[in-house]
Amino acid sequence: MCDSQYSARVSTSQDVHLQELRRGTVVLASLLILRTPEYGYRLLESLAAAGIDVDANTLYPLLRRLEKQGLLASDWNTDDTRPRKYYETTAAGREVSDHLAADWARLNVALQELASEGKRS
Amino acid sequence: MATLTERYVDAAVSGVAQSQRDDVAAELRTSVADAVDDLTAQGLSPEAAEVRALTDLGDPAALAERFGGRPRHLIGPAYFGHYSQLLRTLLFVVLPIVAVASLIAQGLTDASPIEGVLSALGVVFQTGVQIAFWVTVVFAVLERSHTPMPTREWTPADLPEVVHRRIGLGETAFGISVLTLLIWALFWQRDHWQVTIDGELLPVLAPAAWSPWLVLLLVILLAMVVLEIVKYRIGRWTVRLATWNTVLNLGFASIVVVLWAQESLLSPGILEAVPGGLLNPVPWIVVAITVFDTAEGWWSLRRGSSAGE
Repeated sequence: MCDSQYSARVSTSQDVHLQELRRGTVVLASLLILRTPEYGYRLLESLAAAGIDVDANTLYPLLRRLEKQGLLASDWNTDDTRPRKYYETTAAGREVSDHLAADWARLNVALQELASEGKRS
Repeated sequence: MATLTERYVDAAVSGVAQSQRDDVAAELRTSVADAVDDLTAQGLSPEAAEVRALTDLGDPAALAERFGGRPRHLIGPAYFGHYSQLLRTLLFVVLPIVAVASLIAQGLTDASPIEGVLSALGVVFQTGVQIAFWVTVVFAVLERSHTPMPTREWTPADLPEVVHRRIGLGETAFGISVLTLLIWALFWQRDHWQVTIDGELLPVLAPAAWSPWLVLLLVILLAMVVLEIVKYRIGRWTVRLATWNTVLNLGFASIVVVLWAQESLLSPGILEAVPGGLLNPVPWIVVAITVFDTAEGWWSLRRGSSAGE
């Protein structure tokens, strides 16, 4: 019983850290995917298919925030079966996502180096 | 009755700015419908699919907050520092004053000691609740009206001094309680501690001693209360505090001793009337307490400066 309590505690703290680690990646992934216009629900599916887990109740408000910041532009499309709001990355959004992607690559290299050093010692 | 989705959307867009509300609602409705379509395609009934889709979206209040609606906390991090500082300052300053003032006020009435203390405690509690309530209400309104707080760039110079607190709340509370009881007793004895001498009802302390000496004693006692509060705020004895403590103590003792020597402190004849000479050691007790209390101030000061810095 003690063991299961212990592992439960480890897994919840692990969840918290995973969430923190992933927080910024959703923004970057969305800006990258939305270089071609897409609507919210479909973006959610694309993100899931790409292996990026995000809850709908996080993504929808996030899209609005990015739009407010000028990184996304939106347009209602009424040609579909139901009216849908399509989001597309703006020029400013591309610039930010290039910047974020470069930093992500740099971090990736740095962390891999740290991880391999950690294994050796 | 509205559908579950309508009820959900309505709850989720509450608090979203009016200009955005319809847009957010329309998008959310579409997103839920898309999710329901997917789930029914996987074999769920439309009803079950709707319940499942809304459950996946989670508490609409949380969603509303993320859409920029009303915060789901009473006082957020932007205001909490100001809030707790103001509340603590007010409580620390106002409650001791109210406590002492209401105890003294009780002493002026015919209340028994227990009644007096209880009703003063009640007043202190009510005042505390009122202060906490109104300060909280004001900050909750500030939080919701997004009023900017005066902010200043932080510099290391803003760091508070480290207080080597050697004077605890218990010590201060005890000191103030004893002083307040003395003040209260001075008033109380006038009407409630009377001795019959030659068929005449007299209070223990001579009525003639009130002008001005007993009044002066009252002032000294009040000054001692203030000294206790200041001492607690500073957190330790200082030379100035110890000096004031000495002055007040000497003042108190000399008034008592001189009046006693002139036989004008007590009502005439009291000393003999009180059985067993119970009042005889009074000046000695006062002198002993004075010496002890004065010495304690200086002794604590010496010990503090050698042990501390």
